[in-house]
Amino acid sequence: MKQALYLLLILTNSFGFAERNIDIPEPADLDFVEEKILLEAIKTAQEAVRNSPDDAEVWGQLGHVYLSHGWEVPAIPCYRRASLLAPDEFGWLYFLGRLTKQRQPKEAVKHLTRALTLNSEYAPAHLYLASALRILGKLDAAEHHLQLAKDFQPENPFSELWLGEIALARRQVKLARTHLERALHLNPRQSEAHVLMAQVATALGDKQAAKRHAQAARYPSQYSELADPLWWDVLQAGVTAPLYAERGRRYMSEGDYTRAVVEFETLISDAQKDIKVWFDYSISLLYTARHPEALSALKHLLSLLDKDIEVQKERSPDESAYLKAQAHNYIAQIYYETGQTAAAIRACRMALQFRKNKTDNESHGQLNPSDYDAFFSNVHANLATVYESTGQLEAAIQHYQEALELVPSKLSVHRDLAGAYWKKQRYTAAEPHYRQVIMHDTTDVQAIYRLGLISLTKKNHLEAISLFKKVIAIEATHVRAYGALGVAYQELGNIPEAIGAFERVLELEPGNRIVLDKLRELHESK
Amino acid sequence: MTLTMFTKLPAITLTVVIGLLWAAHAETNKPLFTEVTAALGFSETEAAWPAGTHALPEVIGSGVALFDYNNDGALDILHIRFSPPDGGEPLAVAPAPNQLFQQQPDGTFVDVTEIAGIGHEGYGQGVAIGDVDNDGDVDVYVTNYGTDVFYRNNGDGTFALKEVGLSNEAWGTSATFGDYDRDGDLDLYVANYVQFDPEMVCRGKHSAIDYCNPKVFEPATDRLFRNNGDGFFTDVTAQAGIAAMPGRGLGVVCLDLTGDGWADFFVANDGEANHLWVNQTDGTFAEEAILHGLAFNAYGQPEGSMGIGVGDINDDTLPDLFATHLSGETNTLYIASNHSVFTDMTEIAGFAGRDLRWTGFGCGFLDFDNDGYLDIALVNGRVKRGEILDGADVGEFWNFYAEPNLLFQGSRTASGFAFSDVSSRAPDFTAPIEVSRGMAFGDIDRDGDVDMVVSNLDNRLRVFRNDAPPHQHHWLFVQAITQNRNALGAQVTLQTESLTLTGYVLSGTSYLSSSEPSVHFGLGTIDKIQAIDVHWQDGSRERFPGTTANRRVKVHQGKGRAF
Repeated sequence: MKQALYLLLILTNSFGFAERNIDIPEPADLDFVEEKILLEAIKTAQEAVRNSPDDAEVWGQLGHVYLSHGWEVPAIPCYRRASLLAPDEFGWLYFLGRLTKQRQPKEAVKHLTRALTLNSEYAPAHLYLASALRILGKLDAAEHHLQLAKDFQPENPFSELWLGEIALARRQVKLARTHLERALHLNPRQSEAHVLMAQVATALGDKQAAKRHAQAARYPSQYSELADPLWWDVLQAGVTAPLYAERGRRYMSEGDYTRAVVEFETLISDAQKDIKVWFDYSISLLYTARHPEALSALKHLLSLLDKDIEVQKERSPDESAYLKAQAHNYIAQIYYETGQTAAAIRACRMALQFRKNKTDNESHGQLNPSDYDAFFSNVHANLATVYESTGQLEAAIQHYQEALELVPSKLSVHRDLAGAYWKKQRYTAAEPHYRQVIMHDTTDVQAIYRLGLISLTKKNHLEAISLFKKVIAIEATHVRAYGALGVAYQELGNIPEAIGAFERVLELEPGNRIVLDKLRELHESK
Repeated sequence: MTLTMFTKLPAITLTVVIGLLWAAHAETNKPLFTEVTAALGFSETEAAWPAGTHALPEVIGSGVALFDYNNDGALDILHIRFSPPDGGEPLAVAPAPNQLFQQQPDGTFVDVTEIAGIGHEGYGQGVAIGDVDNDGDVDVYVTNYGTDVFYRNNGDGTFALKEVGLSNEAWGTSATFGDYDRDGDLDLYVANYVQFDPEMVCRGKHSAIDYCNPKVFEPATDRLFRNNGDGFFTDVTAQAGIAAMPGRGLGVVCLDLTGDGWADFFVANDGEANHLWVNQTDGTFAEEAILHGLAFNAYGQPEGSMGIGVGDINDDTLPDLFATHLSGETNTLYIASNHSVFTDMTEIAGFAGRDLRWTGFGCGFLDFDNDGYLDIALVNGRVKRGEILDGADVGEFWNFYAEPNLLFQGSRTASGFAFSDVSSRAPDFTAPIEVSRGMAFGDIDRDGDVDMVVSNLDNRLRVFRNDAPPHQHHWLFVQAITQNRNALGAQVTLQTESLTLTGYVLSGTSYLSSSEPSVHFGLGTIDKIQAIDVHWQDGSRERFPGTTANRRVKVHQGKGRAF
């Protein structure tokens, strides 16, 4: 009888029938929070826990609310509770492991190992587990999980980066170099990989490479977020301005500008003075073709940079100038896309006015000088495109050239400049740029074909034939390439091949009068 | 069988064995450090520290110096202090003069600030100690949030505030003296922090106001001052190349870290790459922290670097470094190699993430138990609000920032070295939940082991007496003298029959603080030193005769045998 009563007591308690004191974790500094919307969100999430204390989901959500707003400590017991209530749910264990990693790595190893038994293919869990193991000095186990992370998410540079780090810690310098080269292949702008490569190069005695990597490492990493789809669940729980901005930026990075606009719109008001928010909002509007609103947002941004003392105080004159240049460049894009070419030209010219001259070029703060040059190269190229679209080919050529002066390797500009020369019938001037193009892009049919024609006019028949054949290999129905090939053979005196090429033209374009005449002429000359 | 043998032991033997076991038990359970602040005469009557106003200088704290200002052979204490937050007015100036405490013959301390004339009322931050005029008494440089000050020691127990060309109006933090140009006199490097804007208000993701991340402010340029040798200094920051790369500097040491015999400067920067200014031997420096592995952690990531410890933990004579960092980051152990590349070996050294939760500031290598293996002590305290830990009692506002300190004991393993957390064995030092910043090391009671002084954020000083070394562990202090002063930057190596131990003549290490420059060696059971080798800062090397353990010896440059 006693046993039955005891069992009943356990059952009623576990199903929440009895009144229970639920110990709900709370941030210690909640009194400092002024934002009512956040206090409401916390209250709602806590109420849900109070109402359904045996529901893992509500505990997890409370954890998300805390974590998204930067409170890791109270989030931990929430995830712990959620994972106890739903032991087969991967997410709660994952977040529990991820959060404990930086405080109690031993505990993190336990949680993440268990999580991976539920979902063995979630690469970020392998990465966090590897990191926890690394903190504990367990290099072999960490390496094992990094390999698994790499298998499941091969495009994630962190696996290679951390494998490189482990190799370096073991003084396996050449192996470290292999991993780090792969990491840099996946993300050439990851400064962490450059740091380690600088050390590898130093250890290998390659001073030049060491200096090159050290220089690259001085600039912050770009695109270095760990790809972690589950993190979205946390972000969605955020209700303060930084969270809206973070979500907006993540949507932007995923190319979902419509959703990005929605996030940024929440933050936009006359009181908003965060230039980065205005910028990202404008770009999102632009990429969703909301041109008038994008234009208005960019103009507001420029007026803040020009007139608002608070905004001006936050950044150096150089930084402000660079931001203004970027804003004018986007404005130019809007005008161009809406057919207002004269205004687009004016905007591009405005952007170019903010470029510092070469002698001042040494310091751009946190900005990588190559990024700085790349941006202004783009502005020149954009201006050239606008000029070209209005038939002002000389001006277009001049700005394509200036774009190439800043970034000599930019393929698209070589292509466009060659195209502009072609239109001006300056074939000799176009030639080196087409050569640059086909050197790096062996599938650019137009460049190969035009280079073939240039070779033909220069009587370089063999090269011309080779180039036309390349065109045909890529595009078997390229009629003009067959025609040009026929002419090249004809000029070279190889009549059978010329006839063959012209006949192929006729197959593709029956009745082509020029080719018919050519064939008649060739047959008569035989 | 064993039991039978055991029971056959004579009663007297059993008594001895049990007695020995008790003694060993008592020794291992004895606290490693004992707080003696009040017993040494320091006042405990500081008023409760007012709530902060979230102005960044309030959480940077201040340093402390352990030095012998009056050449009486006993260490004195200079406590750098700053104004308390005042009723919500950021950085209101309420005087909190620095305080000099002179050690008395009975080991207690007496406040001699007024007599000594060294009670500057600036917003004190850090302190550097060095004899800049080679007159045999040490001078004092104090960094401030505001203009720094320099005090020349008059040699009669007083100081004179002097304008000698050491003009730094930026936000100075740690500073250190060192002879970078090998001209025989001490030059000065001052780490500067950020270009602080008191009107900046910072909020976290939760929208609540808190102390700003220093990254929201532009970094400041450190300053290098060359000693002209005529009592004055010249600001050579620009011509030395230091101005080329501003940083958010909090810690600095001056030592040859590249193995070329010339003094370099290692600067711990907050939240960005550390700087290693490598001496080019022509009066200029090149920043090469990345190339030498000291800019970032093992993952190539910048950390919030604060304090710096220096020591040779693996007995290879090369200086290894320890840097304290923010919570969530490791305190990083950089091990030097022969090709002057440092490797972050934190995670191989057995810390196992025990310090990850805390934000470290003052720190240092010390062999607290004189066993011949360097240990690590560090003090903690947050710069952003966190959970209130049990036992925190530093005021409603500051409890959010309070954390315990840590003590790690070094040992040798098959793979090299390891550190184990022995914090629980030093409860006076590690149990209080406070906000600590500055930390200095020295043998205050002259008993052959290293004691510690800590300055807390509320201008409170704490002194910890070392009670750790067992009787059988020996020690040696070496004071290396050049030009009538401590040979800052010199390397001292003890040759014994079984091992080689190396230490460095440094005062400016840790965080905002200055320690006793004599080199302490724990010797374990070794009681005889075969030779003392000194690699002087000017590049010369000398060997001095051996000695017996448990004494303080002085070695003078030029009196040894060159080698």
